[in-house]
Amino acid sequence: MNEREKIAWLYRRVGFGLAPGQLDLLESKGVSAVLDELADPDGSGVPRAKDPWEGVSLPEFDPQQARRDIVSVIAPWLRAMVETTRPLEEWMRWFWHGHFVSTIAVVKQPKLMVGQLQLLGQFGLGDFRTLLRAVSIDPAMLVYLDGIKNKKNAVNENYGRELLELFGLGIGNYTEADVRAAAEALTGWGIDRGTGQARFAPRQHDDKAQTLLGRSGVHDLDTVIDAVVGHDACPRFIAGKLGRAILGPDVDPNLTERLAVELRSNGMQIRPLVRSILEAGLDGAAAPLVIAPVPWFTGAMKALGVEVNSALDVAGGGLVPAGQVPLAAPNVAGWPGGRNWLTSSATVARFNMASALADLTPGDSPAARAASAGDDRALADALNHPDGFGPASSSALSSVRGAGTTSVLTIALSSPELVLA
Amino acid sequence: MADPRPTEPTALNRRSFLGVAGGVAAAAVGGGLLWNSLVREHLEDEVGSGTTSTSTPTSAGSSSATGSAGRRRTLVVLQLSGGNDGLNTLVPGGQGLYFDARPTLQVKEGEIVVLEGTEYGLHPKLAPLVPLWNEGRLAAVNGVGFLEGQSRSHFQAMDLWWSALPGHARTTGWLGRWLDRSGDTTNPLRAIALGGSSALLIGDRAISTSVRDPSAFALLAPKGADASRLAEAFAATAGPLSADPDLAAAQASVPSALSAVELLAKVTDTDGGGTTSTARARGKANGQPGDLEKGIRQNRGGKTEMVELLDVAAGIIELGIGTEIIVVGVSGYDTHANQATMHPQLLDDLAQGTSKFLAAMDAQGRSEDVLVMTMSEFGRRVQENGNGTDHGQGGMQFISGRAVRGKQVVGVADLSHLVDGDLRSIVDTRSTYAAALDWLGGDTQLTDEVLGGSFDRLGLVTT
Repeated sequence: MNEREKIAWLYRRVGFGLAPGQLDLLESKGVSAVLDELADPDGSGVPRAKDPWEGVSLPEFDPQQARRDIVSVIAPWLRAMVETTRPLEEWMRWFWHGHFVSTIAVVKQPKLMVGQLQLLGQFGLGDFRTLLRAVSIDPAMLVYLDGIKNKKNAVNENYGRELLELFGLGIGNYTEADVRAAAEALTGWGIDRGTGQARFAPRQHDDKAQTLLGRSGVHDLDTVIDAVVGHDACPRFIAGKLGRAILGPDVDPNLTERLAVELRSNGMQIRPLVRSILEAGLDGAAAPLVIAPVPWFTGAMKALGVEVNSALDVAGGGLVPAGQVPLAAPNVAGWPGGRNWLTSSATVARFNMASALADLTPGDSPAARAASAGDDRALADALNHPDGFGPASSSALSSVRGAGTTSVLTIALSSPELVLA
Repeated sequence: MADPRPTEPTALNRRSFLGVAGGVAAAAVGGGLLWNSLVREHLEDEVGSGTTSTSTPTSAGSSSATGSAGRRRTLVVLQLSGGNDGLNTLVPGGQGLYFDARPTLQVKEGEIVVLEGTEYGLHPKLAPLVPLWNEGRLAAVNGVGFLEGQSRSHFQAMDLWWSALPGHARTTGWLGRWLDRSGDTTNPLRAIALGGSSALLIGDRAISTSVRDPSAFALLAPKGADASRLAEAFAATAGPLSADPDLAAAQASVPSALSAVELLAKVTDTDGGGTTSTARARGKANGQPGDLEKGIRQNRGGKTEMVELLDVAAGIIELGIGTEIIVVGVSGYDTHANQATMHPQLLDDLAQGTSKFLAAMDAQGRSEDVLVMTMSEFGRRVQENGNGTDHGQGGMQFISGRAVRGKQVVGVADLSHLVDGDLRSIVDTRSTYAAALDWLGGDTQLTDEVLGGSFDRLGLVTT
């Protein structure tokens, strides 16, 4: 990859795409400075990002009423992905949402879901132990995985199981007895019905000493988290998952091992891990990755320069058949990705979103100008793919050349090239 | 500035897409698109008998066994996602423990629809299945699960039901493996998943089609755009296939999607013979991606989801293009809460859908050619928990069709010998899979290879 392609790669993978003119600007800074700005915005003087839900009016927390208003939470978030000054921070929040899954269908309270997403943003690039501990007693998570039902005389293993299986270690690294031990030690957490805050009730908590993952004396939240994070499998699991999310499913296992060792030795700090992953990607470790519907959609909105609310009005519905609506993961394992994004439904959905977005694109945006000038190279570049279209897409674009800018943009946006991040 | 939003998007309907048939076939290489042009010929001529097995030189010959008049057989799998509560579906009679364990959720004694000659009865919402039972076209399997490798992990349990390979990390589904070994793996219309993609169909090689919402499955062109030109151009992005395997995989998704759109357009346009105007009407209203809020609301799954999806399945079978497997996926069965409200609705949808589907098959004269089987990831615990039930082990399955040895319940739900509060799995799930695959493929050795062993077929299905 040349410098321009590297910068485009960074923003396709962890930046939700690039706005018109942004690639030129960043190329003049050089990939090194661009990486610094992404991975260390404080040190590079990048303005702090606004909270996506600042000023957004959300339904009040009310345990008596299932609110489930999902769009009031999602729309500001999608807008933030497009407009944030700190794309990597927002991308990390998105990544953790797919890892520490909760859904509004189960949680039912928009304020709790926003609270969780804010937590993921706040702790998402810090140390993993702090993040894992915070998520374990996050009110939305307590509802989603039955933490609020987990009491001394009625142990509910749901969170304990997913803590080990999906959040911290991965299958094969613990036993059923470990699941039970974790669940018992995590009893007693609930939610205050008035405020929606997490609350610990000592009388509901079983304080007896457990052995968890070979460690004795585990009896509460902190000792559970210590046991999980202290396990050898933890850094490997987290480095592996984040590595695959950025570099692609076929990432070299030796690289994952190196990243895991680094992660353990630096105290489980996530920011340096992400930086190492990005550096490895720029250095040739990047493998192909099928783009998920949400990054595809935000990348398209960004590149075309369309107004976000209008885009959500006409094309947002496509996220449903595409199979990825934020806050509505199909189950606690999140979105498995990969070939799931190449199903008939996803392909048709992408074409239809492309069609609606093409129609919305301002005539003076670089993509529209390139389309109307018949300049395929410039068009690909304007859509964050400076490496251009292949022969099949090129001839497809030629075939609609005379049919108008909107048709050309539709084909360009729905091309197979844009399906690869 | 003029309002840039489109008002009436132009639907790329069957006619506009068909108008480019010649151009499309010429534009792409690869077995998939070549087959698709043959499909289009079938749709134009409405020829009933399948010629799919001879369409490509690499085809392994005949795939599914042929039924009446040389027609292909179709296995329809109803995937009840979430873990169906078998105990309230097929209620054991004469076991007081049932009523003790479920003070609020029990099906009341007077409402149970007794299945004559058995110790079981149906939930009242399943009454539409009774005629099928009486005609000997319905059987039930009880206490079904995996005798080894059953896990309390929801995900491991699901993987097991889909892969039927205990002890292996899941990569393929049992139906996908059957597709791999039984015919043309490049034909995406041999197996279709309606209601969402299905892990059952994942093979090492075989590709299949998944349609999340058949009623909103049209390609849309921007207002004022030349629709057929756009369709042709989109199809053209698929070939020649790139040497880069990942780009090629992305390209290959296009002709598959287009043939699925073609197929669904044909199904919803057809008059009579099992298809209703509902799908057609909804298709026109829901075609556009539109507003996110509307999209989410419409996705909430209706009370007649199974009815509607099976209606589409009936339409697909009527086209006679040789589809061998249709998986219909409906979710909502994970009734940890509100079971008293949700479960009866789901069962009502299941019963109405199944009986209407089989009636449509009768009307099409294809009753001999279809087999319908339910499956779910696991059963639910015997003891109710609040207003719902939690994940359990042994579940139950229905199998229906003319080939079924009906009026029997295989296996038991024995409440006095629970395992950790769960109904035991005493019938291996792979037995029902084996019975279904034997019927579909007519090749018991192939069935055993796919399932990694030979399982008792339980006398469920005649071949």
